[in-house]
Amino acid sequence: MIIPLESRLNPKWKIVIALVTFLMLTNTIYSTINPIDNQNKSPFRLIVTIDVEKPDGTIIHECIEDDIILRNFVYFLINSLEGSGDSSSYDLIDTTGTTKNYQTVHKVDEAVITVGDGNTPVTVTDYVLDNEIIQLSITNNQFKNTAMEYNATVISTWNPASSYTIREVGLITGLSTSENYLICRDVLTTSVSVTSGDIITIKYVFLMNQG
Amino acid sequence: MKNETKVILTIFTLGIILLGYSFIQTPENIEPYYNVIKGDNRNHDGSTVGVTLILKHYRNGELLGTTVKENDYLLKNFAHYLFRLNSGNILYNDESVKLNDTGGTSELIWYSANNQIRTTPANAKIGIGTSTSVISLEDYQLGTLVQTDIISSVGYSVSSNKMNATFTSVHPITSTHTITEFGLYISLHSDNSINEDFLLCRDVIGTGINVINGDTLSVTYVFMFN
Repeated sequence: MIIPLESRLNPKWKIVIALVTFLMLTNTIYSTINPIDNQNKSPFRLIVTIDVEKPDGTIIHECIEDDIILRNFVYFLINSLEGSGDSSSYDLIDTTGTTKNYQTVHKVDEAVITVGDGNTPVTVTDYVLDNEIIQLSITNNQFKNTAMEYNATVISTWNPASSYTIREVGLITGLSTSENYLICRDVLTTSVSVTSGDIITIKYVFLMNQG
Repeated sequence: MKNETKVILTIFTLGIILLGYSFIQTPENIEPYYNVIKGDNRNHDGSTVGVTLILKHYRNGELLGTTVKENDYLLKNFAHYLFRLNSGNILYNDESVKLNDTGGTSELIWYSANNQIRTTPANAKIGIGTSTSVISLEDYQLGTLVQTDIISSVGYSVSSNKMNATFTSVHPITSTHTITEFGLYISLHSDNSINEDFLLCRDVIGTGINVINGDTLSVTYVFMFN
C-alpha cells in the first residue's frame, strides 16, 4: 500500500520545509523586484561621415561609427562642472602639445574639422592628428530633433588642390582665446583618396538619446 | 535511514544551498537595499558616452542602500551646449543654440563677445526633488525641487580608451521626503555677464528614496566615454 509522502512527514519537518520554501521564495522575489523605468535612453554617440563627390558625380561615402572621444573632451567637461576648482589635475593639452591650465573663456568661433593622412592608432591622450593635411572651418550646422531624440551636426567642406589620402579625422574646438584642443580623433578603416576637383563633405554627428 | 527521510534531508540541504547561493549573488548581502534601474534594454555597447546615476542613502553615518540608474537622458540644454561649443559662431543667436535657464527663459549663451562662452567660477550643482513626472527633453528644472547642492568632488579614471568622469554632491536632508528625481546643473554666463544655472540632465526613479531629517543623500553622475 502506498502512503502519500506528505501524510507520513513529521510535523516538525513540514515546518522546516515550509520555512525554507518561504525564505527561498521571498528572497527570490525581493531580488527580482527592481523598479523599472522606461524613460531611459543612452545619452549620445558620435559619428563621422566623409562624402567625396567626384567630378563625374560619383559619390564615395565613408562612415565612422562611435568616434573616439579624447581625454581633452573629458577634462573639459570636468573643468566645466568643477567651477572654481580649476584643478591642475585636469589640464588640457592644446594642439601644440602644451599642457594648459583650464581657462573658463571658450572661443567658439574656432571649431574646425581636421583631416590627416597618418594612421597611428588612436589613444585618448592624443592632442593632434598623426599627420595633419588641413584644418577645415565649420561651414554649416544642422540641429534636428524629434520629441526625444536629437541630431547635432557640424559640417565642413573641402576642395583639395591636389591629391591626398585621408586616413584620419578629428574635431578641434577653441576653448580659450589662443588655444585649440583636439577633442575627437579617429583613424579610418578604409582610407579615402581625393584629388583636385573633388568636393569633400565631412560631418560630425552627435546622436543624442538614441542608444 | 528511510527513503522519505533521505528525500526530506535532500530537499532541506538543497534549500539551504540555494538560499545561501541567492544571498551571495544578490547585493542585499552587502547593503540593505540595492536597486539597479535599467534603461530600455537596447544594446548600448559602443555608445560614445553613457551616463549612470548612483545614489547612496545614509542615516546616522550608515549606508542604508544604493540605487543605480543606468543610461540617463541628456536634455536639450546639454545638446545645445555641446552644439554651441562645436558649431563655430555661425548660429550663436539662433534658437538652435539657446539654452533654457531654470526659469524657462531661452537664453543666448555668450560672454564678452559673441564668439565666447564661459562657465562661471561657481561649481556645478546637483538637484534632488520629489516629482515623478515623465522626463521631457525640454525640461529646464526639476518638477518639484527640494534642494540643490554643489558638486563637491570630481573624479577621473581611464583604462585603455575607456574613461570615466564622476561628479558627486552630498545632500544633507532636513525634512521628510520621498526623493524621486535628480538633475545636473551647469553654471554659465548668458547675455554677456549674467551667471545662470542650466539643467543638463534630469532623471526620475521608479521607487523613491524615503529620507528624513538628518539623513544624507550622495548623488554621483558617472559619464562613461568610449
